[in-house]
Amino acid sequence: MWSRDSSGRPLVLVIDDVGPMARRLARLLKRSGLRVETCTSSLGALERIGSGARFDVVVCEVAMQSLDGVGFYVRASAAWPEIRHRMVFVSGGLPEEAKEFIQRECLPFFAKPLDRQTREDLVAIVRGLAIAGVLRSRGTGHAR
Amino acid sequence: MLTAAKVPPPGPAEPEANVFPLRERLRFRDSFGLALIELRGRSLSFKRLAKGPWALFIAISVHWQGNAEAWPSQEALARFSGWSARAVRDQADVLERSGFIRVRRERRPSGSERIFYAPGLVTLAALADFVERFPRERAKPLRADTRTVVTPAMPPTSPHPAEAASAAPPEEASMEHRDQDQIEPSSCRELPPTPTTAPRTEEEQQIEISKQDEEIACRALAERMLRKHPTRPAPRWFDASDVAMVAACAAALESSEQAKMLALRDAIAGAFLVSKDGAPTVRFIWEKLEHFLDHVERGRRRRLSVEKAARCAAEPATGARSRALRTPAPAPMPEEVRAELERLFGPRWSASHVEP
Repeated sequence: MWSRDSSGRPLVLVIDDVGPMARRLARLLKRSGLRVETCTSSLGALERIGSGARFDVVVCEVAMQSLDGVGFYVRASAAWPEIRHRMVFVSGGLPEEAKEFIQRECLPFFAKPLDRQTREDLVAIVRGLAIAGVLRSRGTGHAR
Repeated sequence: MLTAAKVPPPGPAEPEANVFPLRERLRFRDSFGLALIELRGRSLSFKRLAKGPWALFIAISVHWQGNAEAWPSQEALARFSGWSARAVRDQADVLERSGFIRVRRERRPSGSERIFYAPGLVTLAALADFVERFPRERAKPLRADTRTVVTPAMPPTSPHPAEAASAAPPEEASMEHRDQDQIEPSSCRELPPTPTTAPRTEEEQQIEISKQDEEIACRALAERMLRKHPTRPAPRWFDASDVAMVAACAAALESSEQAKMLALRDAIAGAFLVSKDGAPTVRFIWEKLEHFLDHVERGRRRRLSVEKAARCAAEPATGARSRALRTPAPAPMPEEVRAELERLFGPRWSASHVEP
């Protein structure tokens, strides 16, 4: 149903400059049947999006060393406006500016640490966003 | 406690706006992720929802993106939610009983059954709360403004447009395979200069105004003028910027032509209701999408109440019958109860069973 490649599974990009955290999040999402790629550099992720790579959902840590999540989102939006519907932020602590920006843009955000309930919700919502992305890009419309 | 038994099922002729109000629908579509988080985090009913029904709710709700009702197959829902088809049926029952969704079944000519899912009262209430708490944050003028054009800091190297413009899958739109294994993990390189302004809003970037939208806009503008000056003929030509403004609102609705026209009429009616200084201006009605949707909602409510009143006036017999139905039946007399019990259980059913 959501076949976007031969494996038929949506693709999620996880961006976190702390490698173990990125891998942990990736494992969590993989267990729910999603394909996951990790990137430990927001600049690297930006480069890939700039070169035309597209993902069903992007899960991004806000607080990062080189370029924070908000900066990544702002730059990536220029190349890929559709990212707005595919973005999920996670973070342990949000600077006030980032918080304001995320609220203003109405972007989904999960606060770390992720307890069991939050992890389940994160996976469910990432899956939902992936389906929505697939339907949207197909232009699927059940006209009533 | 809301239960499905109290929720009338939406009929096939019920307008979309009654099943799922336009404002909530568009807001839910545009901020899907945040809306789901807020529903789950704020609404007590959603908090209590178990993992399975919650996954199914998400799988159903993605299909409401542009429509009031969705009819994904149970197999599709099973694939999306990760549960079996049997579990999907059970969980759909749970969602329906608890008022999260409304389910309508329709028999098709082929004999198969199609199931329509619409949001239930619990969901509608939670979404209305979400819209109140998160009013459309980017309610900027829809009028194209060349002064705010932002040069992308990092233009895509691919010359192909984004998939959003073509409504085709990204791999088709860009003519690229999406095999991410081909992409090597990148190394850092010098950053391009940071854009000084935020990315342009989605409305400014992605709304595509069709010829049909412009025609609808002209008709809506004519109707506004007729309403403003009932005795004068409506003008045939309108200011291009006004047409563009109205057409942008029409394009944002993503509905059929008829539904768009109805929404624009509702918006005109709703704006006339609240306008204090005479007839509302074009900008008052259509300049901001959020305000436009408010006008639509206000006008829609007024139209429905007028229609309801007209129906009651036109069908006095039906009205009398419904009033009679609402009147409680008189309590049966003890003799009648006794006679009925004897009829049911025979003459040996003694009165001692009935009387204390």
